[in-house]
Amino acid sequence: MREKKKTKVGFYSLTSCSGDILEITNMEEDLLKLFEIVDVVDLNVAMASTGVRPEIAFVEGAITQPEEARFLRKLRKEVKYLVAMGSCACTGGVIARGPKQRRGWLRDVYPESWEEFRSGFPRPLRDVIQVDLEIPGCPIERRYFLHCIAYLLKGVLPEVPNYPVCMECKMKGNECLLRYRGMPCLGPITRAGCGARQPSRGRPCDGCFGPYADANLDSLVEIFRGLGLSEREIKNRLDLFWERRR
Amino acid sequence: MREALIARVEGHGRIEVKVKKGKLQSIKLDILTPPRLFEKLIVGRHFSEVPTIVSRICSICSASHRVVSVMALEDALGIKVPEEVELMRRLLLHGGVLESHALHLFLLALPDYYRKASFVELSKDAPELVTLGFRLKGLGNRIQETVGGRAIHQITPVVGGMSAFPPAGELESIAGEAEALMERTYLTLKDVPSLELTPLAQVENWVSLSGREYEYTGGDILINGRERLRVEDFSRRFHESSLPPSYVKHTLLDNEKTFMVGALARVLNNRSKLKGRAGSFCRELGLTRQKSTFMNNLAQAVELLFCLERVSWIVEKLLKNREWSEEGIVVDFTPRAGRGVAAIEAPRGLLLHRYSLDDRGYVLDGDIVTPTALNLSEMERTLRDMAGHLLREGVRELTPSLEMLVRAFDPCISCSVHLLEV
Repeated sequence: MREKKKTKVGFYSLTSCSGDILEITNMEEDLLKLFEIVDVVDLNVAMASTGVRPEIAFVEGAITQPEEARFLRKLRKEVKYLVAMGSCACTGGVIARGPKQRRGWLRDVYPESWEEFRSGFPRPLRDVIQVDLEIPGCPIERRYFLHCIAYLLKGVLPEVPNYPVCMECKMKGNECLLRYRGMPCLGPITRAGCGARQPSRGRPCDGCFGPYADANLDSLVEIFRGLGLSEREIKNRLDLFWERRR
Repeated sequence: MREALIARVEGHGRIEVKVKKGKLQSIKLDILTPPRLFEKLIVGRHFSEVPTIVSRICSICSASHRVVSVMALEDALGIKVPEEVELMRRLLLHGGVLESHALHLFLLALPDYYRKASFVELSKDAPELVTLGFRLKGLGNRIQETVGGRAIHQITPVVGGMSAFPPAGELESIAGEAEALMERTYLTLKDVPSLELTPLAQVENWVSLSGREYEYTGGDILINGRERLRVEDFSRRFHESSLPPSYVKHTLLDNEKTFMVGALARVLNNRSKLKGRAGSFCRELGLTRQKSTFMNNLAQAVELLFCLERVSWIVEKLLKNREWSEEGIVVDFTPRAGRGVAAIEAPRGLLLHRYSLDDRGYVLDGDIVTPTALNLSEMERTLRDMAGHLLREGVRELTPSLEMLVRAFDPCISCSVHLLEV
């Protein structure tokens, strides 16, 4: 009997902390099962590249270098599905800040060599290529990654939860940090999927999954003003992970 | 020019070796991970946001970055935290070391020892080895999830305390798992075959924290087991400078000496404080007698045992005589202007954060010194020694040995070797 051909899958890292691919290795022994189910052609943290073209590519990190953009354009032509993984790949992430100050920062940090750097403002993948699926989070949730890859192997795009973190938080029976403790929680406008990790541990949501489709930002900003937050505090709160205009 | 991507390390980097008529001309280690400018990203942010931002410097050391940033900010704000907060943070850091060392030793480095291309290949011949690696890594992650709220980019350590404590039952179960893994870890690691060690990759200078106990927090900086330096005086002896033939910034001791940080540096400085299984395993291995860079892998093995023992000890201490509550502890304080510094031992070595704040608690400036940056000059020095030696011996294929040497340092970079024949 002929063995069924396995789908070729590659994992790639652009400018990032490598946390989304590390989260995939956090499947621990199940990682070996992933290697049985699919043909892993690239995963630099674990093995040398096979040089084989993937059919599905998972890409973490933001684009800051011209060669990263070139690599992505080439990859896009080769694959059936290209998946952006994690905040940096989906929105530019925590590092996409200070577009106007950036050259000055480079000069301060690398006074001898800054002019040689071709490092640009961190951009999400969709600024450069068409992306088939975005897996949000900083880092992603490994269970949701497994959900997504199972769908993609069947040739179906998975749905992304389109309701706020508040739903998960309420189901856990947590006391509302915004209402009862006056904490500036982004739960009401942030896409669910993490199981309300931060609010369940006494910390307001920082919004790393980005907004869900019907998020009412203006209303939450009004609530924050009512809590006595300054405009600077509100701005800082929102631009930690939320997508910014450049 | 030949190019080979070195796998099984983290991030992006490259070693460039120039050889002319069989002689080494130059060797250069470039960190290619594009600049993300974290020290600048935090300027003008409120101190409470800093740990959340800087933990994103590195996914595998995120617990270390989060905890040390919180400690440096507490130093700036004059905050003292209660013992149970300190113990809980230490438990989290031990989880981080377990995960980092298990990943590096079992999955990235050990395939070299068995001449396999990856842990997947290794798992076919020695499944018990790979399984144990994943169990230890899994325990480390479980600790980070239970105590920190997430395996990567932890949540609970905040300026002034911990935002939540885990359920007591979870802690007991973690301690039980640590104890159950101890014997198996020892028996497995003691039978790992040794690498062919080159005497040329010798550690000449080593630097780590050193306190009363073997720990990842507290104490002074200790240089070569002899000279003590207070953490706040770090920049009196350690300076960034350019060291030909490389153009990357290097940190040198007293403007001239390269040095190693990490598990081996810690063991060399603090071995007399290693008790129990870890202590006897360390003596059994004799790794302090020949100070080879490759011994860093074995030092990681010793620290895996140390962490397993320590985890159950910390849990016992935390749960003793206490009405357990999952409510966090955050002490009261008022923001003020100030400067603060803290150092800890991240899995890969000394990590130092410094911040200054204005009177409303906004960051004026920040300075972050990472272990990979500290190790950079030492990596280059040992690479140069080893490449020169191999070329004199007539070895043509330098790449595998140089790869292994880089991997022994456990750097946060992935390297591609550029061998230029000119």
